[in-house]
Amino acid sequence: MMEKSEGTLSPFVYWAQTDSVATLKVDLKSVKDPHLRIKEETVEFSANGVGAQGLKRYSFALHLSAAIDPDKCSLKVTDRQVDLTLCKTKKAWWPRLTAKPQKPAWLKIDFDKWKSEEDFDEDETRDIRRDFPEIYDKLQKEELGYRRESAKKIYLAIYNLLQFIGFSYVLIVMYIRHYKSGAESMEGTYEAVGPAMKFIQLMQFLEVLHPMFGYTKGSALTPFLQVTGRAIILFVMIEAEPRMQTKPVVFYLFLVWSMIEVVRYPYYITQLYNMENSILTWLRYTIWVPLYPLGFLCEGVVIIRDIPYYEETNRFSISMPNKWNFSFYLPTVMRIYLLFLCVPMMYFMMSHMYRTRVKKLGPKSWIRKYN
Amino acid sequence: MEIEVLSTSGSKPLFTLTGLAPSTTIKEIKDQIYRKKKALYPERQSIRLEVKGSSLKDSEPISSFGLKSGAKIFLKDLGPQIGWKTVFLAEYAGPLFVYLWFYTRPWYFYGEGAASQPISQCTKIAALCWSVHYAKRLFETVFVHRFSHSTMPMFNLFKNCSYYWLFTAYVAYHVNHPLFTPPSDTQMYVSLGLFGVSQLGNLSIHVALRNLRPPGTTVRKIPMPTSNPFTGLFNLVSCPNYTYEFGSWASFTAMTQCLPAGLFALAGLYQMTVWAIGKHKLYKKEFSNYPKGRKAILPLLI
Repeated sequence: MMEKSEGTLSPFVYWAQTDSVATLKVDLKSVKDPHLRIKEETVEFSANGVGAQGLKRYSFALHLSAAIDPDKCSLKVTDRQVDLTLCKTKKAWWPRLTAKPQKPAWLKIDFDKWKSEEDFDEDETRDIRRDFPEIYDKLQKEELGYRRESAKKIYLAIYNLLQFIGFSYVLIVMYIRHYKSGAESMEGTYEAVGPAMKFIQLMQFLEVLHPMFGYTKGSALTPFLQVTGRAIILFVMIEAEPRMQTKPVVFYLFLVWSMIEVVRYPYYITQLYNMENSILTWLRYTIWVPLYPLGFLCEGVVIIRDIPYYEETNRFSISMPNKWNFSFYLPTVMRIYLLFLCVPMMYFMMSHMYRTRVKKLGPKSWIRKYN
Repeated sequence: MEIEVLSTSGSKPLFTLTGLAPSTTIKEIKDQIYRKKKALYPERQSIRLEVKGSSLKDSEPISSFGLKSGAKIFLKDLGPQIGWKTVFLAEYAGPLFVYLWFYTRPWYFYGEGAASQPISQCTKIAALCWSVHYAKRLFETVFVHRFSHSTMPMFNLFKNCSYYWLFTAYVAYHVNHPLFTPPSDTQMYVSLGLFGVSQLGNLSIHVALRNLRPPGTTVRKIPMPTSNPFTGLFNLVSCPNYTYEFGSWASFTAMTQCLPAGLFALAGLYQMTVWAIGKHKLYKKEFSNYPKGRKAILPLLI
């Protein structure tokens, strides 16, 4: 779309800046006979070339936001475009290219230049967007009519939201059933919410992939251990042994697990969008204090009550003789876990949470100690 | 001249050392600190120029770090230390005793009457191999190895012994089990031969490394093949002792066709690969003329 300014055609001009330089990219191909007049605060350009209206003479004039040094400016003509580099007299960030707030329709923002600094000889290879994030967003909104959102962020927000809904569903169903029939409701807990729990538990394996693909920070090992541990309790200890499914401990276990998750996932969403909610943050870094030990306790009860069942059925166990001279007796592994691994693991996980809590919630004087 | 000693935790001032000269060595500084605080014997101290800096060498004089009067150095307490030799002896004696104990088939693990069941030829040979391996290690600890450091943190004793002793119990339980099924004789004897070769190879490398370093020093030279043909592996890898070690356990696994033994071999391979890669990088950094074709532990691979 062209606008006639002073009776001539204007080409599309894309502009970008660093704090010391402003660049103009004139979108004209096969430029011939360029004329350039640069003064301290004005730029006038005209040339024959191929633009949106075909092969014509195009020109434009700009009254700049602040002063430039005419002697230091440079012009580069290529087959595809014309690059103009204007050196600012004073190093500063220009809120606009032009002195007047009204932007000509043919003046656009050069988003490519805003992303990389390769065209400049300066040392700064920083992404300008980091320094002036709101300005970039505002410009994008003005130019395109909307703000482009990162796909990764949307995916993570949706994932966290869906998991939050899943665990809330479990809690709500358990609550309603308990409200209606009290302690008698516990027996049917696994039948009522078991399928949902299994589904959202399996989905949690995505949280192992997120750090692997750079969607989230941290190592993949921690979520792997946590999710695998819970999966073993859910699928090996409970799902595989029907007699365990009707025990009240399942109710308490699901309650504890869900209470932790129903705080964790919304907290992640607030972190994604930098909308710090102090109550949510406090909850996320405090409820583990009672809930982690309770969780380990419930899991321990499930395991210890399962030992006689697995001794009877011998499921998941391999005995000798066999070709690989290998034996695996699940009840023994369960006993070893309860006797030797359970407490150290709980200590390890809780001290990790404590360290993160201090870093996040203070007191400030302690933070250096834990760093 | 005077130097102030600060703690690495919290940068608290600890001592002021006096009567120092530019030629005073780090070792002498450590001795002075030890005299001021009995709990901090020299092996427990790490002296640095910065809180998270690298440890300064004992033999260096303080002048080589440009330290003048009034300078500050940092002291890190490495925790209770234990001698390397002590750790090695404990962690290798354990497997010897534990394996032979399982060989007698205690009722606690196998039930009553297990001890009177027949013992296969393979089980006997395996017990012999295992014992020879760890007896050899004990021998090397006392007579062959030359250690760069004299001590390591006390916690390592617990960690290392757990690894060796528990894995020994795990493998021994299966190989000595009354229901253990040996592989074919061919497989057994060929693997036994390979085990022997690997053991000799491993010993040869240890001896070659010993002779590389003059006694009482911590000199470092590029290891090269000697007249012993087993040392030829140096042409292919930086740490052939680890290569042969893995060879021993892979052969032992084939000889017993026992999955737990395979897991033990893989666990060892993983750890030794990590060590070998570290050593390999150190060699390459230290010696600009380090042979190019060498890998760290597995010829042509890693």
